[in-house]
Amino acid sequence: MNPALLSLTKAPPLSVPLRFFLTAPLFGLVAAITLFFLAWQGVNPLAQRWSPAVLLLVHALTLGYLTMVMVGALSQLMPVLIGARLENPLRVSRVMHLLLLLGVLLLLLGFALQIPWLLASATLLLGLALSQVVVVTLYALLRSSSRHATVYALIAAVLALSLTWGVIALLLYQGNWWTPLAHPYTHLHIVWGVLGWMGMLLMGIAYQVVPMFQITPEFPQRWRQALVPLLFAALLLLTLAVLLELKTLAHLAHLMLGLGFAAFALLLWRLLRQRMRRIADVTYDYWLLAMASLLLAAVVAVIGEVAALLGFAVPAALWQGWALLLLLAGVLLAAIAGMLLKIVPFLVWLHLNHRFQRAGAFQGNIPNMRQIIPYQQMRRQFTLQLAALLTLLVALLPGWSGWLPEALLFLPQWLLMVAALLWAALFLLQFVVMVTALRLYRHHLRLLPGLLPEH
Amino acid sequence: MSIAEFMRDDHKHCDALFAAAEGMACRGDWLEVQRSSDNFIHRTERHFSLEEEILFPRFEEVSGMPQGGSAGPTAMMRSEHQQMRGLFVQLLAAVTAKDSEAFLGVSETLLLLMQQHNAKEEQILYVMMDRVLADEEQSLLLKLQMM
Repeated sequence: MNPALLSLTKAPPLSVPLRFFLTAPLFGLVAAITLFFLAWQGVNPLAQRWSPAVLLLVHALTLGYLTMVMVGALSQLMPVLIGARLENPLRVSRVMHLLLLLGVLLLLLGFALQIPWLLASATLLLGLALSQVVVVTLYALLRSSSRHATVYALIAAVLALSLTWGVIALLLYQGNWWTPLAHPYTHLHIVWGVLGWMGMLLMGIAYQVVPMFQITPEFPQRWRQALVPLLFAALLLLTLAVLLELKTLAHLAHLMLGLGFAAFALLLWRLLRQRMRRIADVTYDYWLLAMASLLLAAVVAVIGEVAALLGFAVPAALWQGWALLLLLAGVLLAAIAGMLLKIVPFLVWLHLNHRFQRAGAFQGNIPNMRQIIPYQQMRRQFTLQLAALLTLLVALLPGWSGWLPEALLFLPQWLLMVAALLWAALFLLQFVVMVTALRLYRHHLRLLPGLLPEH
Repeated sequence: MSIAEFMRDDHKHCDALFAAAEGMACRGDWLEVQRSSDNFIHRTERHFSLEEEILFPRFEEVSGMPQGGSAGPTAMMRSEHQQMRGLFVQLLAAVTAKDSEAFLGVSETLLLLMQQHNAKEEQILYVMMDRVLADEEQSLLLKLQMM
């Protein structure tokens, strides 16, 4: 049968995406705890971006949380969004998850203990895990008959993922597995990873899931087709500029990236405001929060670049650090949290319903999505995340301690510790909510007599 | 207009009726909830009929695809229609009970099921239908419009 048609026939087993989703909040917790200890010691993570503890924090978040969820979501979303199915999803996801898990653990351990051979083996394992992600995704994408802009966004995203790994692996190899980290090429690693891999993946998915689940018009077609190629070209330009040490070109490429993502944020915001649904929805609020953060990140970056082009001596680390902080904590963590609150209860319902249907049992007894994760619970989670984000941003706001009276000088450090605790609480809550949903799934399966276990 | 375009527009129409019913349930005007839910379900059932009675049988016949009951793609789409019908029953039960919490829980589930179903049809099945049924496109479109 035609492979595209085959993708209509079967969704991957529940354990395929859930193994990734359940792992992610635990790495989020590691990141939050690291932040707490940094704050405890009076370290501002933006001011000491290259310290091993900050690298540990950042990679627990980018690889352990964000990439972990994204890889899990891809296996679930690809059949729906582009009509492409992953082959042998269960076996592939088991290997992928194990490699990614071990790779991230070794990497974090390598940062914590500063042992080169740990970093070397982590790089190798992550290389294997990520190349599996890239190959499996590209194979499915190239066989898809869809010509939607999502396909091109996903292709761009996985190419960016390979470059993200390639650049840093090369640097580490040349530096005997402990490099001068503030190397100009590290900047490429960061930009390809955050804007290329995660940014373009987010765009490709948003193009479709926002109109689908919020019932909005389509994302404007011209923009949809132009944005990813434009941003990819900007990333290539930036790479060229860094390799050839062309400062002005690098500024222009940064400017292009800032403007491109600002345009995306504004267009998606407008789309969200045009939704036909008239009911409160937590995922909708998460999208608005993500797009507001993205716009802010882009504005910070554009102002910084323009200032630099005009010859003002603004420290690049300052606004680049802030743009990255907003991208990771504001944009990506919000968009993913919102997506998980839709995808997890739906998958639990879908698989339960499927099993009940096959067993010929009455399907009216299956809990609906709001019984699997109650709405009040989702609302609480959003409020907690908003509080965690705002506290973090205020705590790290540059220069404000200069305005404080001496008696209040403890405030920024104190706020940062509070922020870390709020993030820890959020990741813990996320984990508990998903485990509860899974237990509900198991509980209802037990109500079915004589059912064969299915992964 | 192609079959794919016709059916995609019909999905959009059902979406709008869904959003209207869901919006009413928030306001608690149960007479209106009843009316708008009936509208939505009626229109969606009509959409299912277009597929189950006209398009799927022709597609199965011309493409030599497995018939309903086996594990083929159209069989999967029919089975998802059945799942949605199960949720229609629950939705109407929530209206009768004037239970907005139950209504919104069922409608949320229905929306996700419906949208992922529609996306798969629009991205894959309708595109294939346009190709496989190209020769009889005009007569099929006429039948779809008449129903």
